[in-house]
Amino acid sequence: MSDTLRWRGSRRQLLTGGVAAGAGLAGLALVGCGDDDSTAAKPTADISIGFISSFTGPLATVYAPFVNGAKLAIEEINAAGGVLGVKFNLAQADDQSNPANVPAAALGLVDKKVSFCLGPIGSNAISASPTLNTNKIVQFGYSDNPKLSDPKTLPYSFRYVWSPEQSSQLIVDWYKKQGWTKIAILAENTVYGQTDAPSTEAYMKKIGLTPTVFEYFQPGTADFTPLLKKVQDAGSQAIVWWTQGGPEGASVLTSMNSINLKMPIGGIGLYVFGLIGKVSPDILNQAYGFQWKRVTYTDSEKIPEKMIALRDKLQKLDQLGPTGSGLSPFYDMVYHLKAAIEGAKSADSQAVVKWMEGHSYEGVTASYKGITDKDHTVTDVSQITLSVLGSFDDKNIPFYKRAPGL
Amino acid sequence: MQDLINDVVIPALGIGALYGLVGISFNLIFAPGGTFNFAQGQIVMLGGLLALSLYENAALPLVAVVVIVALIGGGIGLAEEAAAVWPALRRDPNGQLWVLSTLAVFTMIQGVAIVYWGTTPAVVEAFPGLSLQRHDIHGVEFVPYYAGMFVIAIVVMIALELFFRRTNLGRAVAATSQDRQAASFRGINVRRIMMLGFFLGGALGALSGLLAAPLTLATITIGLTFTFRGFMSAAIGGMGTNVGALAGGLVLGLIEEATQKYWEGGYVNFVMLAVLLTLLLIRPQGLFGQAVARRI
Repeated sequence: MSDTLRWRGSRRQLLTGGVAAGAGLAGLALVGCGDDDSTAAKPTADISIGFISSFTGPLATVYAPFVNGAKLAIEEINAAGGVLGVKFNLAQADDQSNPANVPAAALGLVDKKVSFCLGPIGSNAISASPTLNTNKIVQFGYSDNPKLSDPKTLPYSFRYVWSPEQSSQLIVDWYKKQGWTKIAILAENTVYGQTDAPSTEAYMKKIGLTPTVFEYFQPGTADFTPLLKKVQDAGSQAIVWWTQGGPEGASVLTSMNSINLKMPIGGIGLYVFGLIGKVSPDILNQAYGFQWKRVTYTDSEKIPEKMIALRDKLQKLDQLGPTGSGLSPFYDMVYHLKAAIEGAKSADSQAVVKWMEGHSYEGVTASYKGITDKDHTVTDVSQITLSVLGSFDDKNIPFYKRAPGL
Repeated sequence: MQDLINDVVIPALGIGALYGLVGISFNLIFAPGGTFNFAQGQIVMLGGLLALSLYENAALPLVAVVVIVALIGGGIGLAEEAAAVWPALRRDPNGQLWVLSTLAVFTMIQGVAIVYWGTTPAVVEAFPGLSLQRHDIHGVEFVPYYAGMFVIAIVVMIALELFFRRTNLGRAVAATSQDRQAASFRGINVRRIMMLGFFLGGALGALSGLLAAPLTLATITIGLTFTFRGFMSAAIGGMGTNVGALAGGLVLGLIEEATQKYWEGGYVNFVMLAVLLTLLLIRPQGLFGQAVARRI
């Protein structure tokens, strides 16, 4: 028998140790069964929050404003004394603008022993999830991929963007309310388009509607005239549009302008920046985009004061970004994490997940509610709306007029 | 029939002419050096962004913008030849290192463009007389922009043919494209001819981007599309022939419009590649290329 396994103490010491161990095990059992906050382990060192994004490469300038929101929140929290007596710091993980580097960036965060991770942004989010979840790192994901919100497969991931199902329901219901039931669906022929556009068709079928046209187009298409004529010839009254953010969203509006097609069009990826004054207002005022409700206004409902204050703060620091993406929920994510750590009285990732599953959080950009241990969707449909893209005003970025009746 | 003319043939003439111009710009570089410039689409993209800065934003006269854009495009072509192509060919005249080095230039141009212009697409107003609005003339939808692109492409093609056939410099380019070694034995400075090819190719590529901007918008994302379509135009028409490149561009334009009209836009690239592969199986030298016999 080796020396390390041999007990060298007295019989009395052995008995005392046994009693202490028994008491400890009983205590652990109590923690497991109850909700005794006094047993939670408070953080003793500063808490690193990972952020996977494109910090170098062609996308760095595009994604910088998203990171700025998180940086601002961390600065504010630390200046106010931190969380449970310790401070947050940001651990950047760079994918170098290459989606193939995302898993490696996630592994880098594991090496840095972080327990929380913001991002990645967009469809890359899911490729970081397996590594993050295996290592019990809580992911604040910014992608509409439904897998992010399924705790059965990804118990540590949360989805902070509305789902394609939610957006489809919103836009189709609103079109229907306007009396536009002959709806065409146009989407880019990419994984994104092929994943999200079918949700609109599925929702239409659910409420007894059939798309007049459901067509994918090649990314890079500049002239949408043939497709728009097909939509027109099919008797369509409105279009649902799915693109990820290329120039096609602006191209379709200029094509509509060139054939003078005044038909409501709404969805993801429609741009009006630079189109004001060049495309007929009749077209732009019938172009709609999904937005967080709190960045839209109506004749009677103004933008909330907190939202304006955050916009002004980021703008003053020159961190809002040209399209206002600094106001995306990354600022809220950091405060949500703070609330969860304080609520759980622990920076342990399991405790944080458990707290988030049972509590709502009132952020600046949205109210995050309805999170359960069966669904990690942080946004419900009441938080989003349709904005009138023609109301874009570069002096009032990123606030839009809300579509009538919403 | 009217639908076919209005929705397929007329737009195909305009869009196809743009692809043809880019195809010709590929040829100008390919002819003297036997290399493809895989960064060519990015020079096209830069032409559009320069149109945005100089014509749309700075409101310079169109003639001045055309000259500046041509000089910048030509200058980029020259710089690329000096930094990325000639050193690769000097190290290994029969090697393919220039494929990697021109692809590296592709990435570099995009990176610089994103930093300077950002990623948001911007509208460039149609040039005088080249509106995108449709005018109904006895049932035919006349679009000045499409007609203008077609005429410009024909004029450019004729001018280049005259240059290659009627001038000593042009004949030197033609001789170099036939046989670089033989041309150098006859006293032609092959390097200078290659530089000329890159200058003319860069200038025409950038001017194609300027012309395309009102249709495609000024955006950093079009480089890949134009690299792909320009290369295919030249390949369909037959590498090295400018008439062929224009014809190849028009074929692509017809495929794009007809696929969108009668099938689905998502299949445009598939149909284009299927046509190219079929054509190359039947006629490897392309529509207007000539099969070359070599004695071994």
